[in-house]
Amino acid sequence: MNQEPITWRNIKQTWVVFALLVPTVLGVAAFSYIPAIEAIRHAFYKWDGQYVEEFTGLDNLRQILGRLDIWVPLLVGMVSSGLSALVGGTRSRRLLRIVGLLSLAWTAAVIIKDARPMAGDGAFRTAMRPVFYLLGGTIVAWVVAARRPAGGWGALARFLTFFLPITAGMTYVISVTKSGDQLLWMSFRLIFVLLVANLFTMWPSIFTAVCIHRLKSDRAQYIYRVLFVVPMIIPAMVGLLIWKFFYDPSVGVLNKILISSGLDHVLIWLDTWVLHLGVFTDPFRPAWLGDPSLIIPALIFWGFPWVGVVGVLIYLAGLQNIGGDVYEAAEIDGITSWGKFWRIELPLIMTQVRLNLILMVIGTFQAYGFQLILLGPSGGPENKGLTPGLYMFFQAFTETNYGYACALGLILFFIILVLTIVNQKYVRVQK
Amino acid sequence: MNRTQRSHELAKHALIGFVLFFAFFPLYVMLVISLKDNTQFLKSPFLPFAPFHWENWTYGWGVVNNYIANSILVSTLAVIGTLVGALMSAYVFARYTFPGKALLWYLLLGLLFMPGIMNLVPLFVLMKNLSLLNSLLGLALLYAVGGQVFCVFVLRNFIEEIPQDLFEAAQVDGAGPIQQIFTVVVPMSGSILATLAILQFLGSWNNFIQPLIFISDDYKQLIPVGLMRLDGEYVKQWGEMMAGFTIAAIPLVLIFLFTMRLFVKGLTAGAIKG
Repeated sequence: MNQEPITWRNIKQTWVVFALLVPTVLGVAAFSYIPAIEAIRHAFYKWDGQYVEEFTGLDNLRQILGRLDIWVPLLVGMVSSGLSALVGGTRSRRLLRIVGLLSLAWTAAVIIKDARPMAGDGAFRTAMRPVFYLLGGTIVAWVVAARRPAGGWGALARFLTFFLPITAGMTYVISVTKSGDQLLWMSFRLIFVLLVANLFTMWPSIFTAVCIHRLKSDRAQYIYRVLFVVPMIIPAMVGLLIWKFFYDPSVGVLNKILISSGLDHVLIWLDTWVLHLGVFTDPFRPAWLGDPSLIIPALIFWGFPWVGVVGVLIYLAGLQNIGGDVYEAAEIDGITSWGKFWRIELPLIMTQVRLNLILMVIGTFQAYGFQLILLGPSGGPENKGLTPGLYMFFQAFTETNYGYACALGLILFFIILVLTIVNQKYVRVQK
Repeated sequence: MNRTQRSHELAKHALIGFVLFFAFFPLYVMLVISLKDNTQFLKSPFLPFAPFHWENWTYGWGVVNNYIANSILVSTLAVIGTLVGALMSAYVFARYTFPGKALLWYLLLGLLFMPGIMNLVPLFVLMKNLSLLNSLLGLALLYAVGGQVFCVFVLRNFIEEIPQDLFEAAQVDGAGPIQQIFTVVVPMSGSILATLAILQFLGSWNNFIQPLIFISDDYKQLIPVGLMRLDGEYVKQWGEMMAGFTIAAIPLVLIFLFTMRLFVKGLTAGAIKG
């Protein structure tokens, strides 16, 4: 549509238009941008919020990341090779690629110089093994990328040639030299596990939406749609606390169901002969949220069968855009139920799935309220449920290391930014 | 309908029923336990049987009524603040061009990707310096600002799709920007405004971290933190706790009763899409 141009010259007549923007702009500047800038600034400070506020340079980052001499070239390499895939011009792309390769080579040189004196050490060699596997994988990916045309497997291989060496570098710093903040690394491991689990738990919502969509009767469809809204009346906190009650070791539902269905004997047998965790014993009373080895399974099982109400409604909205003629044409071709799902329904709601995927990844990285309520600020026994966000909360409000918390936030921000860009680029849909 | 088709339909209903069972189970558990005392609860937690202990509800009301009042105040103010601010700026973004518009727009949108958690610490200090800590109005202001970006984003797209003629007609009649918002935009965007209002209300109602950090007096506390404290008591009276939970859900029930139609329509008509 045509938009009316407003310039500074006719401001006397049009100041109202600018006045309309004032509340939003002022509010966002004051409560979002100023705190963000303050957070970035204080990442380089020792700060407790009131008395101590002194500039300490890179101390916080060094304490968090460990070997800055490896991290800096690694990150420069990562960012410039990543950018080289995104920018348009051939010349700038080539330049970025060269910078990326040089910094990765620099990283490799630092690591080799670092590792040389220890090459004879047996324990060190075992620790280095994953690094070598990742580098080997890089070479394979390189060969594949050179042979395959762009798109499909070729694109994946190309992404891996960039992704694997960086992972190798990170593995070296984190697990071989054991430098940096071990609690943070642990929390990233948890995030990784949760992300993989979420890739599976996102499907039930899609299936449910498809099921509702395929019902013959419109009336039934409408009724189910309304029924899916009803559970939203349970306040989030109540839902959470009720699930917490389900997990209760002595009065909770989960243990009662396991006992009455006889599954407790299976679990005890498994624990005695296969898993050796020592958590399932006779009498059967596992504390799902109190036992270090059960926390992660409990977090994943949370919310079974993982159907998000809003998710279902949004998928349904997407499915309704599919015209009846598409189905008719497909049925003439003799398409099966599965074929209908993979060929018609999933591609047409891909926009929504992609949006949900992005939100899910970003949400998982930021999540901490949930773990805070269930497990407390230190993430439960042995910090098993500690997410990066929760760790930041812990550093800020339990330990009052505000500066350190800001530095953690800066790193999180950086990761989420990169993930968002990668998401936008690689998880694209064909329309 | 032949036999296989019918069995397919049945299978779908069964699957949806299975999912719905789990969605409604917490609601059922909450209601049933809210009527039991602790001995009944320990004997059989999930089946309803007499005598029903309605006094749990009286007790629960006594515990949560203050939190509910605070939450209603904060959420309502937050919804009003968000929608008024977002309507005004979405209108400007949709209808006018001005120098620096694109920059301003991207600065706003960028906030959708900024992890809120990074801001938490400086925000705490800022609120302290503005003496907005421990104040319900300060919290409402914070929620209203936090909801802005998403609403502006949705509303701008929506306003851009309103036919140009309507605005021109209003202009000919001598309506300025503010009158145009009231006479053209608001009447045209009823269901989307309702959907956004509900989403924002739910968001404020369920927000837990900010009241936990920014409110320190118990009598000013909001419902999520209040419920968490109720759960954290050492010797639990399950019935009274669940009665408190149920009462905390009633305001949302009322809101949904009145707006269910609009909300389902707004969500499924693709008001919020990728």
